[in-house]
Amino acid sequence: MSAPRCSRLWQAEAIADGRLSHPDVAAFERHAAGCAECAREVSELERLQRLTAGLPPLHASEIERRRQRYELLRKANEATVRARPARARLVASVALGTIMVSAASAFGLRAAWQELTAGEAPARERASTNATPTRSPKRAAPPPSTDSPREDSAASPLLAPAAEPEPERQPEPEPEPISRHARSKRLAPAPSNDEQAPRAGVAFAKAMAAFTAGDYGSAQALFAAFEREHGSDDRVEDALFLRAVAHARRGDRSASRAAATEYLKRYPNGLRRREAEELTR
Amino acid sequence: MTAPARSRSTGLRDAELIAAMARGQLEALGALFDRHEPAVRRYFGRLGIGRDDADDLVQATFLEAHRAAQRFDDRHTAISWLLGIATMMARRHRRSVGRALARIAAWAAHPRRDLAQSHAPDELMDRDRAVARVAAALDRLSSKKRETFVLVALEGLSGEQVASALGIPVRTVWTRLHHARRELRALLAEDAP
Repeated sequence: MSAPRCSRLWQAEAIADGRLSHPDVAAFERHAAGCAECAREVSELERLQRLTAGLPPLHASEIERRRQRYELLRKANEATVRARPARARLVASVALGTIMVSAASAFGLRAAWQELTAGEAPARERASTNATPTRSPKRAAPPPSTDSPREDSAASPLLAPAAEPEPERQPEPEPEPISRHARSKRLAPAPSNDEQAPRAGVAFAKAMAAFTAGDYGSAQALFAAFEREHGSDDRVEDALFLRAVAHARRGDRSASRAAATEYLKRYPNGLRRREAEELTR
Repeated sequence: MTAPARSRSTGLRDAELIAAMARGQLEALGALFDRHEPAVRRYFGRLGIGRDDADDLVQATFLEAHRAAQRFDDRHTAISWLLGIATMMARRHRRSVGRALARIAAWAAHPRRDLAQSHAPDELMDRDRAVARVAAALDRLSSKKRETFVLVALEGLSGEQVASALGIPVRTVWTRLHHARRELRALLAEDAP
């Protein structure tokens, strides 16, 4: 490249940088109209801009993006759990609950389903970004699917009433968030349960669905049945705790207290210990 | 009915989202991700980072944003703040890649890998060849010049935004940008080999 000769040549680049004021830009343009050197400089800068901006951008597919989003929120939640005091943890857990549920419905299911239910999408999306956790359980609940119930049991905001409350921002105390890795490991059925597992899964999902729908009468009965019939299933711990919550939501304090007490007796170090202790008071 | 694409973003401004993140609201992080993930990913691509590494770095960037949300300064825009974090992540990544390459180079002559060399030139269509040539030219820039060029010329940040995102004086931004342009123009001149 030859050395610049026109004293205003530098202004071409200054304009490209966006650091020249309007009158100066106009003045330079008038100048460049008559200065071949500056005109060439402008066109070369434009060419460079065109070439470099034309590189194919890196982008993720929608599925990949959703997977990433889910991973991000899971990791962020784990970091929050490690770093925050209890009160903030509860808030984060609620948030994650709503997000996990909507992420499960968005990511875990087929695109075909998403198209079929496109009409519900706005509600789901709202749930995923809504700051009011207590509104979410109904809206964000994923449709029945074989793989979702267990995931959701870990993530659902448990103590929040399913009936829609005022859209206020004050979240209620919520269960402590559990690392989903840790939890799924913990909840993985023992080998001996292999034949039982599908039936147990269906039974648990039914109970969970009733719970999510706000039908606490059915929910507590279904959880109780689950505890009886699938006594060796790891989800009994969840079922027992959720039964205590369901009783509480129906206003049956004594039944709730009894179930929570039983939970604490059977799982003194259980994942829901703290919430169970609250329910016994 | 609201279109899903629109309803994804909350009505909150970026700064409000980041404030909500600082209060521990994960859905705010999700919303910020929805809004800016494409730009952050594109930025990594323009820095010459491959698809798989970009996946990790996008995650690392938003995780760091989540962690650092309390320190967000409202005078930044969210995107310049995020791209500033992304730049730090890319530098850290380059350092670790550099160490790995140095180890390899210790026992094998390892040619510099860039787009132009990773394909057989003869098989490339003209357009692909042009793209490869631009990518290779960008690869020849020092990482600091490249970051600055990409942030201003391609991502459209102002010099002031880049200066605060990278923690350098604005003058340095313009200097780096000028040198980056000069080198790129020499590499991409019509008659250059």
